[in-house]
Amino acid sequence: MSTAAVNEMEFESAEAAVLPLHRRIVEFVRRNPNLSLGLLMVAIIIFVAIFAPWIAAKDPAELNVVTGRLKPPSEEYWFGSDRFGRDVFARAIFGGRISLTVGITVAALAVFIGLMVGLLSGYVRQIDAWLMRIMDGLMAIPGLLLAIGFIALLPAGIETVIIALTIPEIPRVARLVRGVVVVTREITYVEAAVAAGAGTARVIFKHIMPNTFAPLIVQATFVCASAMLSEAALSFLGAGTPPEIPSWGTMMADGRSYLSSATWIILFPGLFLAATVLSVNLIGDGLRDLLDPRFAKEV
Amino acid sequence: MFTYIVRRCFAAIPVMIVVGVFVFLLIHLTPGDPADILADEDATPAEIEQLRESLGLDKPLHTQFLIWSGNIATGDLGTSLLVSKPVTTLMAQRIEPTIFLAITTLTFAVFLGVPLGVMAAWKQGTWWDHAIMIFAVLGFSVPGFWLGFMFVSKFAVDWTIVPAQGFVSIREGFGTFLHHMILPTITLGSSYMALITRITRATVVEVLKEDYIRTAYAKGLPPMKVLFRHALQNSSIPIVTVIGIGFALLINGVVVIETVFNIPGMGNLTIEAVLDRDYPVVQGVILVFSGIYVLVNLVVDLSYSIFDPRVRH
Repeated sequence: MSTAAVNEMEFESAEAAVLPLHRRIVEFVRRNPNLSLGLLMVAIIIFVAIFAPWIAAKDPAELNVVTGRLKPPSEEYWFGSDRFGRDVFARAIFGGRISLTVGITVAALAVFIGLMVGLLSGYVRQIDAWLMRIMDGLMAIPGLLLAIGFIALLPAGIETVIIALTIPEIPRVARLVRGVVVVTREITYVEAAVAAGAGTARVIFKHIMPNTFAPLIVQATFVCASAMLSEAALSFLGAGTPPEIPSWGTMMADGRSYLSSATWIILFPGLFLAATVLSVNLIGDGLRDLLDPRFAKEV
Repeated sequence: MFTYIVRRCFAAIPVMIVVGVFVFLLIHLTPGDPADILADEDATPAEIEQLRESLGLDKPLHTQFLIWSGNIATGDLGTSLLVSKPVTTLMAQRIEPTIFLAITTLTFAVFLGVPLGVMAAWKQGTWWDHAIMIFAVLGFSVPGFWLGFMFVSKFAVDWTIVPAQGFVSIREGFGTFLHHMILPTITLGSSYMALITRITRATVVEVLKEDYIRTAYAKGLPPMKVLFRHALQNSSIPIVTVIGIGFALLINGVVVIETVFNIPGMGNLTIEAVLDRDYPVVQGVILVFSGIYVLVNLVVDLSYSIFDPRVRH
């Protein structure tokens, strides 16, 4: 790097430091439009899901079979009502809790297990080939089918959905981590750490693992997005979240028979789900551009 | 060339073995007694015992695996618990709609996704590029089955220009067949197309920076020829790779979209089997779909040598 470039960088960071907070935020948003939009949308969605009981005027489980069945959107039912007279708006807001819980838990579990498998495989050469063959085999089974295989065996419930959706995601994370480890392992500073007498655990966790964090965060967002879509698909098929719990997938399954007469039952949960997945994907794209400039021009 | 093909084919074998072991172990890895899980909720202990014996679950695990894999090698995927028919028979009755849906979807996704990606790369930074990329991100984010319902509600219910559901065999006329396929194909292909568009744009953007592209323009070739002959051909390996990997999207989607449109195919069979806990059928479907997926990616691997002669050596 030339001296001029270094000076310019110092100048830029000095300038950034003296900028007032709101100017720095504006600058960040200008440079990372996708990431900012995604973060804002996810923040709103999480806020709405957490404070659902205070935002929704009605109880999502409250029935009104006598006078409130299949009512179109109105002042009383903002998003209309379903075949039991339940408020679609309240259910859509509460449904976000399931999607977010499943998405975030699956992402966290898949990243944690995948990280462990990847570190082990990348650093311990004796088991590398074996572990990777197993991962290849797991990856050859289309994810939703593998999930369905587990769901057919485990008792119905959200825990089952989470387990079933986590397992197909592990190999991709493990492969990613292994790739980083295999490269990092050969870098001189790792050699130096080993030479200085650092133990295996210390080398792996202190010197190698931090290099995997940037790609892992990006991967986690994509796992989260795909888990939310899969949960909805499974619940829609009747093989996911039990029907008594309001989730976007079960709501859409409910509305299926009323597609021509009461489209709103399907329309709104789908819009909520699409907006949530879209904002998580925007965060993923934005983070990838931010954390790894090499990829910024690619995908 | 021949050794290259043979080597690639052999590489697929260990993958299929691991898949087989997984599918076999699935039921043994889940907590609880397999016979208990598979039996009806109100089955008597004697019935459970009978089921255990008929499925061979009373034998040691390795014996079970040998019998099971031996049966698969001879084309026997077991017998449905529900209708007492061989799993292969059930699949054979359902395979036709799925194959045709896969063909139309693949055609739709590739023949729309690739040109869109090339277009976005060519017009990089313009509103064309932005519009196509927004379209692609949406394709990833919008749930396929919901999109299907929205299409049905607009085009089939409101405007009645396409049928809302069902499948018509190609033997009953190509026109009616295609008419029934339009909505399922677009619905199933949307995320697949989005994936292909993104990777095509990314690869072509890089290739367009190469010197030979400048040379091609400089010698006066029309832009379309430069794009599709020079740029696209040199981008083909990453693109076909993603088409292969993305085939999993298609398989996952088939399971859901066939239910949306009431298409009596393999995906529909899968869901019926899961809801009925007809485990041999679930196992067979997973195995066959995985086999197809591995095969598609093997073909993709072999196709590299068509696009890039250097691969052959």
